[in-house]
Amino acid sequence: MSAINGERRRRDVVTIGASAGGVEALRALIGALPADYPGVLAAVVHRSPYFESALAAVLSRRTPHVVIEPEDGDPLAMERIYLAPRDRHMVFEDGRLRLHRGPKQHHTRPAVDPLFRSAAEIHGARVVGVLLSGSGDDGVDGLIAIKRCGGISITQDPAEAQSPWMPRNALCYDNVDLVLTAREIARALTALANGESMERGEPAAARVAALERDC
Amino acid sequence: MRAFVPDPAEQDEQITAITCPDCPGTLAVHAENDHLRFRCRIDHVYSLQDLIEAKERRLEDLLWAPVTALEELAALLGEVIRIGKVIGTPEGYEDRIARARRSADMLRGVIEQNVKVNLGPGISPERP
Repeated sequence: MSAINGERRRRDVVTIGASAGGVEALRALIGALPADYPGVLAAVVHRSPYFESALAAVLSRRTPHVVIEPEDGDPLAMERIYLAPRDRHMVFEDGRLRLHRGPKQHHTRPAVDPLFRSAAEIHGARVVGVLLSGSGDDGVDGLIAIKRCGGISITQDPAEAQSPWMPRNALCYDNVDLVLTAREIARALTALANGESMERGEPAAARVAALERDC
Repeated sequence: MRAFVPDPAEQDEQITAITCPDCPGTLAVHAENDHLRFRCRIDHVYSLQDLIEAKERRLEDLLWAPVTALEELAALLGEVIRIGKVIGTPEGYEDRIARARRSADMLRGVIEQNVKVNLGPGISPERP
């Protein structure tokens, strides 16, 4: 089976989308990320626009990583984990993160698609897009854009996801490279950020194929 | 988004005759990998699933509007009788109240029957 990242490129800009059931998956992923992970993570979790929440603090618990909600225009720093704040879309711009209150997408703000599309446009093949547990199909178009621009796409294993529909919708429309548990995703992101190639392996490839057949 | 008919040579976005669920604009549709994306002039974005859900929700909201109007009218006329401020005849008011309540009840029946499309097992109603 074909290798993922056979060209051994550093894939160190990671975008993550999560909705219903996704906070737990995101915690597991961040918790399994090594302290010396060399890339940058930017995450959108569907959340209420009305309440300040402790989500960033919750995600920072029991990990060496600090999850922060950036300010508009903050320069992009590696080895950070950024979380889109309530009621703002978060997008990449040249060397910066921008926050804006543009039109809602999929009835939500922040939405996953604007982050993913901007990452694809700005960072191209450096990008790894990850869709975790959630309902609906915010993020599907974003993953397609990431793939089109040479990036890699990963979904949480629908069997592990509390709400499997966002990963499933991605599998239906995108050629998803890897389907993994949250902890396995952390390992894959580390390998990809270090420019390692990964064998997808027969069983994993067969599973992706089977999931895509079910669409 | 353009104003006139789409250029047949342009495969990118096609104008639809469907209005945006969240503003007065119309939607254009774009397909990539068979996944449909609808976008209005100001960039509200919907998947097909979002759009169906939004149109169903809007239909229910619209159907409740006349129920509210009819029941408010009946309540108002009832209060006018109670405080003795009838303009015209109380019989006319009683008759109107009865007709408004019947209409409201019929509409509640319509809403009761107006079961939403089944989007299959994959659709969770959860929204933030």
